[in-house]
Amino acid sequence: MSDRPDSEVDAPPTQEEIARAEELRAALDDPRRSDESAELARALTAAWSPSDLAPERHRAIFNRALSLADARRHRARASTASIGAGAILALAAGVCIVVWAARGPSVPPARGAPSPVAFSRSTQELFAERFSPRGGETSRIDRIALARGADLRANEFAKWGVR
Amino acid sequence: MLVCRKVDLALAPAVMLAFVSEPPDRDDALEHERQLVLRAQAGDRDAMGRLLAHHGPALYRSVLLPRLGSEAAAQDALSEVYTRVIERLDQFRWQGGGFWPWLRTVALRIALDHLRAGRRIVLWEVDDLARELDTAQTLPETDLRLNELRERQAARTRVEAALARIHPRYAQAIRLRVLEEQPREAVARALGVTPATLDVVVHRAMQALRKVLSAPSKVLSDV
Repeated sequence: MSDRPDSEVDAPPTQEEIARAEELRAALDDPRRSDESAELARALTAAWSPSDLAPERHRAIFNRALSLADARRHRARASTASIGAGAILALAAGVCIVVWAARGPSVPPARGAPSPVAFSRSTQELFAERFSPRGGETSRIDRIALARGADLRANEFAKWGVR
Repeated sequence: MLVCRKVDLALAPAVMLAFVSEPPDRDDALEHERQLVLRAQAGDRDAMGRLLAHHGPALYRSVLLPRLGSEAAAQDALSEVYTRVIERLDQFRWQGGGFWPWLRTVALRIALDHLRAGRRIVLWEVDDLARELDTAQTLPETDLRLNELRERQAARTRVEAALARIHPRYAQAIRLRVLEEQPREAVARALGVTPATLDVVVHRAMQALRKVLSAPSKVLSDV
């Protein structure tokens, strides 16, 4: 039980309390009015003496549930159908790719066979001599750029089949 | 035959339970209900409608409305329960206890979702409902009236437990003005105050109740 003393329970109300009490009284008399305390009062009433559901309201709720269940079922069917169609399309696309790849001219080289194109690799082979401690960076970069430019052109010619 | 006889719910809970006995035609009623369930599972909408028309009002009155605390919320929840039942009735397996325990479990799950989503103060907390759900499947085999009376008794005990935690004068004001819905002037006379003072007392009483119900532990779990 609350340990609130009687003096506090019977204390004179403040103006704000009087205003809130009036709001609550109005909300208790009119269920359409919104008030936090009145909502709790309605919850108490709902637990203490719950009201019946009118038959026509019950029928409406049942019919709404039937409609909702039907709508969900149709959506689920449509979704399943679109997923199935998508799966068939994806399968067909996969088959096309496999067939095209099997017939196509560009078969990847077998492991160990000489590659028709040059791949990225270390630049160490371009520099047989030792680097000087200072300077020479620009000339080394130029040498790399020339060599890789030649690789690029050779690769392009290889791709076009003109090498 | 499925018949829900009117029982005087104003009687004290213990007396109410003592007066209720198993109807002699209970086995017939269960068999009839089982046939309805089978037909509904086969897609018979008339059977589905009859099943829900039989149990739905009690479900609303004794399970959803007390726990959710508002007619609008309880009706929304009932609609969701029906939708779920229509969609998932094929998962229901008849176990001799009738359709009610399964339907009540579905309703408790929906009510739990509503409580989790809502911010209103009601008598049931999320944890309370979760505990109820844990034991929902062990509901004893009983008839609809007895189930409803048990639910009603539990709800009233919960209200009394909440009122016991506030000042007796506040509890008296709520009992007379809110629960018994007595006229303002009559309650004011009963409490020996003016109607204007009664309004303040009721306001303070509701504030005190809100405070105890908002506390982390409402100590109503055993109710």
